[in-house]
Parts: sequence; C-alpha cells; structure tokens
Amino acid sequence: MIAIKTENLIKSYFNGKVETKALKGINLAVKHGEFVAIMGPSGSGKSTLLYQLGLIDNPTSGKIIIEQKDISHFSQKDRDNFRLNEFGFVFQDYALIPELTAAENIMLPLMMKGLSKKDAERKALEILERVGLSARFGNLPSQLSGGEQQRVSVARAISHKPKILFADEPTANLDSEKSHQLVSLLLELNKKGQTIIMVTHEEEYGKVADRLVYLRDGLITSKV
Amino acid sequence: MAKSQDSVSAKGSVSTHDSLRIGFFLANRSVKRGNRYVTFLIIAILMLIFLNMVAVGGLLLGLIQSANKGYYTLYSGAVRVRPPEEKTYIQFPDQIINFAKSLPGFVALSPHLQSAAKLEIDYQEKKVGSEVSHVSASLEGLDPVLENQTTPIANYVSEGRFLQPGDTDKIVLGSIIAGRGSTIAFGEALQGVQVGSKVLATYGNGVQREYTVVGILKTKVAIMNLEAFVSMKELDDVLGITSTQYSNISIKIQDPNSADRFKSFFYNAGYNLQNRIETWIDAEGSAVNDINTAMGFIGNIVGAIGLMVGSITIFILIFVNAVSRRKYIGILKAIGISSNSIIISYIFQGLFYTLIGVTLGLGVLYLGLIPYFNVHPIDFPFSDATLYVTADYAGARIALLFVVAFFSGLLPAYLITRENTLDAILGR
Repeated sequence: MIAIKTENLIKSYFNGKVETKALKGINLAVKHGEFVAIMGPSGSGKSTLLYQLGLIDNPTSGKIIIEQKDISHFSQKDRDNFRLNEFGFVFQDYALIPELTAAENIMLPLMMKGLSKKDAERKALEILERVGLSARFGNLPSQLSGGEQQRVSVARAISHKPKILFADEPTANLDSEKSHQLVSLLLELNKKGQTIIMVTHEEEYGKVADRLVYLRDGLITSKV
Repeated sequence: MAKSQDSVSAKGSVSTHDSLRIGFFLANRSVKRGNRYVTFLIIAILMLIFLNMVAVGGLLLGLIQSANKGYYTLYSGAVRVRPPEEKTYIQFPDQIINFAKSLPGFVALSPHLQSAAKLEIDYQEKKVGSEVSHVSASLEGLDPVLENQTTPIANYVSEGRFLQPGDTDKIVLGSIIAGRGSTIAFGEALQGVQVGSKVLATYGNGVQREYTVVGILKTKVAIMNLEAFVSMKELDDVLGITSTQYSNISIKIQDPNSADRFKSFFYNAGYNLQNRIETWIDAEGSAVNDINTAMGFIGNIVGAIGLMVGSITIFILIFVNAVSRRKYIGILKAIGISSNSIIISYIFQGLFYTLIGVTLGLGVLYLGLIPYFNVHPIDFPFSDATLYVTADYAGARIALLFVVAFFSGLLPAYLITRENTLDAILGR
C-alpha cells in the first residue's frame, strides 16, 4: 500500500526572472513500512525533494498524494496540522530548540497534539529510554554530544507516531561510530513498521535501505 | 483539560487552548533559559522607557500641582468669599462665617481686609527736593490667630517673624516689595529694608502710620510677595471701620479637591446672590488655569514623544530578538507547532519583559524618585516641582506600554511565521 507518492513534481527557484529548476518532474511512490534512501551528488535536489514531500516547502507544480488525496496545495494551516499529525523530521544539524531540555524538545509536538504536560513528559521519558538517553532527559542540547542530540532529534520525530519519518542527512555531522548507531536506530524503527525516507550522500548508509533512489540534476536517474 | 492523543480531530486542528498552552510553555522556557544578558538588557531598557514616560510628565504635573497647592494653602484657601463687584466689603459676613462653620469638611477660616497704601523707608531723613525709596502696595489686614489656623504662611517668613496678636504697629513685608526678589516683572521695591526698619504707610484716605518691619514673607505665590501684612485691628482703625467688614474670607476645608462641593452648599443656600463664592480654581483666574492647561499639554506632548520613542525601542528589541531566532521559528513550524502558538509565545515574552520592566520602574519611582524629589524639589520661581504621579497617570502609561509590547511580540512573530518554513530554517 502506498504511503506517499508524487506525480510530475517540479520545484523551481527564481532569481529575478532567472528560473532554476531544482526538481524537474519527480515521480516517486513509497510504500507503507518501506525505508527509502535518496542519494545523489550535491545540488542534485535530494533535500529539495525531501522538503517538498514533507510539506516544509511548496512545489511549483505536480502532485503529492497521500491516501488518494493531493496534499501539495493544502493551506498553510492544514500543512502545519498535517506535519504535526502525520510526519516526523530529523534534520542534519539536529534542529533542537536550545532553551528546551531533551525531554521538553520531545514533549513539544505531543503537547501540541493535546497531551497534558504530565502525559507528554511520561511519554518523552519512554521514548528517550528507547533511544538510550533516559539519563539525559533534563539536559539542554548544549549539554549533549552531537550523537546524543541527533538521537533526541529522532526521538522527537517519532514521539507522536508519524506515518512517515523524513531524515535529511542525519549522519552528516556525526562520526562513523555515532552514524552507525543512528542508522541502526532507524533500521530498528523501520523493522517495527515505520516508513522512512532518508536523504544521504553516504553510500554505506544508503545501502541499508529497502530501496535506493538516485537523483541527478533534479531527475531520478535510477531506483535500486 | 488535556485531551488524549487519539482524540485529535480528523482534520488535526489545534485548539486555542493548546496554542495558548504551548505558547506559554515556549515563552516560559525562552525567558528562563535564554541569554541572561539579553533578558537583563531588554528589561532594563523597558524600565527606563517607563520611567522616561512617567517622570518627565510627572515633573511638569508636579510643577502645576505644587503651584496650585501653594495658591490654595497659602493664599486663597480652598474656597474664598468675596464681595459682589459693585461692593467693597462682603455682605452679611457673620451669616457667611456661621454658615461656613456649620458645613461638613470645614476646618478653619480667616477673614481679610484690604487697602492700598504707599510705603516709604528712610522718610525721616527725607531732604527737601529729594526722593525716598517708596512703593505702592496692597496691605492685607488679618487676625494672626485665625490666619495661623487657616494657612501656614507664618512658616514662610524668611527673615524675622510673622504677626502676633497685639501687633498693631508692626508690619510684615512681601519679599518682592522688600527687595528680596526679582522686581523686573513687578516694579519698584523698598531699598535697604531690614527687620527692625521703620516704614511709613500712607493710606488712600490720607491716614499715615509708622510701622516696624518684623518679618519678610517669601513664598512661591508671587502675589503674596507683593503684599504687606498688618493686623486686622490696625486696618480697622486706619479705615475707621467699627462693624464687621471684610474684603475676603479664605476657608480651609478637609479636602481641597472637594472645593466644588463645598461651594455648592453656599449656592444651594443662596449666598451666591449676595457675594461671590469661589473655589481656588475660580480664584486663580483664567490666566493661571491657561498656564496649567498649557503645562499639562506640554506634559502630554513630552509623554507622547516618550511613548513613541519607547514603543519603537520596545518593537526593535523584541523584533531583533524574534528575527535572531528565525531559524528556530522555522524548526518549530516544521515539527508541527502551530503559527498561533509561536506568535503567542512571543506575545507572552513581550508582556513578561514589560511586566518586569514596569514593576522595577514602579519600584524605582515610588521608592526612589518620588521620595527624593519630595525632599529635594526642583526650585522654580513659582513652584517647588516634585514628581507628581497619580495612579491614573501611571496606569494609563502602563496600559499603553503593554499594548505596545503586545504588538511588538505579535508583529515580528506573525511576519516570520507567515514566511516559507524552509526559508526561515535556512535563513534565506
């Protein structure tokens, strides 16, 4: 069953009247429970595709379909709600809120979904335990290592049980040991049924995915 | 009440309650764990903005307030009775006095008798064809005991002493006619007069009396510094008055601000048909009231400029704070935090900084500046300016500051949350 698919997805950037096409008509379908890695050289459009799929950016044209519904032209408010309820994000630079502790970063989307502070805190501790960071629940991001911050970022992304987890080069700022740990964590989540779409430029980690999608100059060149 | 995770509506819309809750949560953490120096700076600037808004206008108000207070406490009384325009003396003075004494809020009264006279000094050494120092002045006859009950002018004698009962051949001179103040605006002064000097008074009816100067009176009410004071008994004698005759009666009441009410008692009893009943505001005259209005207007202009500068400063402070966190606003949006929650968090922050700044400002104002200016008023020629800040005056400015803080939090956050989420995250 298809979790998300795109039809002729195009994204252009404009510098005055000069148009630069970052995505030139992407057709991609990701099944439920699938782990898809998107790879390609710098400037190929990997991250751009991820941000369009995750509704963080607006495509210029084309469709993004989830459960037979074209969500690419949702209003801003509906996109916000959709991200909150259906998607989780892991960013390259962890993107934790610096004034919030590890637990509070995870609590935020949970509270936004209506959980009480107490329930959100309990749930955040459970998730931190799953990623091996229960002892660090009260630490601010500045008190955590890069690997720990990225695991908190993953914990935040999965805390509200999203349908799809998007990861944008999650290992880019980690050493190889921490990178392995993080990819193992993603694989473990995928084994439990989590749909994952990950952008990476590291072949080693791309290969662990169910499917590799190669992008070059805004076009899919091969699917492995 | 918190909902379970599963009870989020099908459309996944976020309730206002949740937006408020998250907004407060974010604001609380941001203030608690944000950069302490930035927080301190914002609060300190807000405090100074508040003080600037209230202190400058408050000093002008204090100037007016102090001048008014001086006028009714030293000179006119809160309510003053004067004869009708065509008469020299108050009609039915005993009835007026008895009626005033029967009214609620009455404290004391002091009748006065006025007469113009020419005062001369060194008249004994006058040589044929030479001029001696002289001045024309209004002489005020009063009962020292009643005057002391009604006004504190005895405390304003800068040299010598005030009149005492039985002082029939004594005189107290106002500082201007005694040459102690500026005569530029008011004309001549007696040259070389001292306590103990002899002055000769020549009244309009030709009667001449020699008085010994026992004191020089110096107040901030300029008109009093132009007068001279003798005893009522002396003036009665000079003017040949045998019955009760007064030129005016100053009445002291418990609350000078209720002078209108006190005056209305006289009106209701019909005393206004025989005499002029005036509050101290009526007595001050339109010129003084116009000055007061003008000063108030200047105070408002200064306050408005202070508010404008303050508003822009608050806006810039909170705007820069929000813009510097643009990336995190983008991230919050990316993880599904509603724009409303983010906007609310910045509004809460703005209001919180304002609350602390205003609270500190009130502390500095009421524990520092107001007590300081009460002890060390600014010495103006017509008033001792203290810092006069009423609850209404401060309250209006506090309310305005909170309104500005509200919009200073709202606008930048609104603008950033409206822009493309990815642009905010990437700082494009």
